[in-house]
Amino acid sequence: MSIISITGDIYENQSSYSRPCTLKVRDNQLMIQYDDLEQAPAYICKLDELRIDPPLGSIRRKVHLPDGRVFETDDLEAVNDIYPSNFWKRIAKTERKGWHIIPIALVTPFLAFGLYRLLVPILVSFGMALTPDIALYSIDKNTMKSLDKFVMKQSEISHDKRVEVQKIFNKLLLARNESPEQLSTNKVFKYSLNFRNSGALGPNAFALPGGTIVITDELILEFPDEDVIAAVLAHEIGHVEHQHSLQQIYRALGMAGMVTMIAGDAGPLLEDVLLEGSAILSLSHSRKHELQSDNYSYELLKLADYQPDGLIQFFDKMDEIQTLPKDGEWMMTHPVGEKRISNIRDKMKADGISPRALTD
Amino acid sequence: MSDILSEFVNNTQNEQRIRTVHEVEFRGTTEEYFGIWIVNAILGILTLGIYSAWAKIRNKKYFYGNTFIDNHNFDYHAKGPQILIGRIIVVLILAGLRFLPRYSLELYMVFYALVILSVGLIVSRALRFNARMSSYRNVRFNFSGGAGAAFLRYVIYPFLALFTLNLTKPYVTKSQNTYTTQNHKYGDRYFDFDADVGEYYGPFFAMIGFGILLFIVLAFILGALMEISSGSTFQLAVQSFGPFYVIMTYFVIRLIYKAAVRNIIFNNAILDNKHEFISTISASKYIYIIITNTLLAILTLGLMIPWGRIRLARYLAKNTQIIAGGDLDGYTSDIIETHGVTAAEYADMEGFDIDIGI
Repeated sequence: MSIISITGDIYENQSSYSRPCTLKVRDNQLMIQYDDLEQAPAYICKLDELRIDPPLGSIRRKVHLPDGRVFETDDLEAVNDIYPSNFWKRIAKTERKGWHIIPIALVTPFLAFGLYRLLVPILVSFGMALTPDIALYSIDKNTMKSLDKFVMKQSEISHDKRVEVQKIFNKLLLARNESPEQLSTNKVFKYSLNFRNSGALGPNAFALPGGTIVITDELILEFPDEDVIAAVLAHEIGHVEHQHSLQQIYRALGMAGMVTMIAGDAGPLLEDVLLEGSAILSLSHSRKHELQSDNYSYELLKLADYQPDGLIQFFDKMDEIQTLPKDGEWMMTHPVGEKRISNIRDKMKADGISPRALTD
Repeated sequence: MSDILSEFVNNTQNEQRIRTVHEVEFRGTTEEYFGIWIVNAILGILTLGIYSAWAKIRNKKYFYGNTFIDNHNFDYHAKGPQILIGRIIVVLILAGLRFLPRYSLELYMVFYALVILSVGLIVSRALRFNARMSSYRNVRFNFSGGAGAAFLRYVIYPFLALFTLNLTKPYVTKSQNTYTTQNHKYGDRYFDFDADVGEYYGPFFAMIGFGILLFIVLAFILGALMEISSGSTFQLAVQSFGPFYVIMTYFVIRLIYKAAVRNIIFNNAILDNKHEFISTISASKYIYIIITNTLLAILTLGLMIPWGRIRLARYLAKNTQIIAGGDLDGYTSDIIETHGVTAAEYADMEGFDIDIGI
């Protein structure tokens, strides 16, 4: 059998002192010859007593001798000759540049997306099941605190009007409680209706995961029709019952976690963008969630004896005033589409309810 | 004056103490790293994240192994199962934090308080694990900082700084840098660190000033865009992404401070009382690199991440030097046993900045 010679440097045990030498391998026997000494190669150990670092790119390879000395070399090919064929050898071969990398690179984003679609819903439902009610209430409390500090002011709506809206809300909750199997989950939400004045949000309403629902003065003033108010409130109750906000929070977390898992640490700014960006995106609901809440709203309105087309009226009016600058927010957080309107129209047709003339 | 004088005396007294400047070199290439990175990514996906423990090691080993001083490279020695077990324990702890309150609020409070109290332990153990797993010229680094000191510097001081509107942040940063640097050892020799807090205040105020300036400019641009786009759907985009721009501004200006702090750490650190370091990164170039890296990564669905990482490593290496006050090969390791991978993984996942970061 032929001799394999590998030139490199050898370090003493735990020391930064090194000297040049040549390793010689013959028949499973390892010998060493120092370059600066005139001597015959000295026997060290059997080949299988060595621990050789797995190959990685073109970085120097280290061979750990049983006595603690470390041999280091740039002669990667020679080391590969004595390195056993194992998993890491195959990994390194795959990593090496070549045409095969291109299909891998093209497939990876799709696989990542596939995994996202597969894994994130599982993570979301897992996280939701594990989230205690107390956590929901504290999310609500803290969100309201910061919104009150930065975005919203105390309501300026008259007491009587507020009582009126509160009555609508209570009626809806009563209807919800009367049909638990259809419209309410077994989770206990602490429903509360909050009135706020907010220039930035315009005519708007939103729900937090624990059951806190906020309605703005602008919305109450813009829509005197109680069917519309009821429709909007029922829609928000739908978001709470379906736990849409919580789903979005976990989706954002899951996505950020997955990206760091796959891409390694993504780099200084990119990490911030991913985390914050996904948190911001999590504030807006997806189309699917909106439709789900619309359907919920429709059913709840029927049970509570309201006209189920309140949302249609709401959309129509919002469409008209949407062009005003300060009302833009609503459209970003609640994508309006013909689809949502026709969805309700279809339901009404199926139920044999004729649409009312638009009140203007 | 006295410094210069004593150095002069020193130099004339020990003629043999020759100072040699070594450039830090980074020899990694995008072509090579891309293959490693993409294989890491695809195996991470196919194994549902389990391979990510080994991926982390290959990643680190690649960057360490391509960082050279005086024609010798660094190495990273952690083993896959170590990292994986660390990660599993961390996930269990985090899950525990979420799960406990369902059963007992009291137990949760106790557990939560324990986690906060153990931040010091986590930081110190994480630094130790990272140091002990790193080597240069066959000699390991070590870290000997205590948990109490870390708790003070990473929990108490930042908390107290809040009462000064964070205007004392430079003091906090300095105390953290002193802790991390002075407790690091190369072999059995200590690093030393002595910086003036004034050095931190310069970039700190630069960061605040630049932030205010950027905010004003941004407000003008957004205002103008609102005017132009009045009534169109484009306006909605401008309006809705306003808060996003503000947050991004904050992230960007933070990099000014980060770049300066790196320079301060290197320029004031000394190893074994004789080897000095120089870091000359410029905040503007650093920010330019990071912003363009980030944009390209997003535009290419992440495929440009490896290119960006190599580019950043190259830039950092190019702006780092060692002034060796003697031989670099007379060192011996002083540690054998290593524990604490769980802490390291926890710190890793919770985003503590603990890398040695040459």
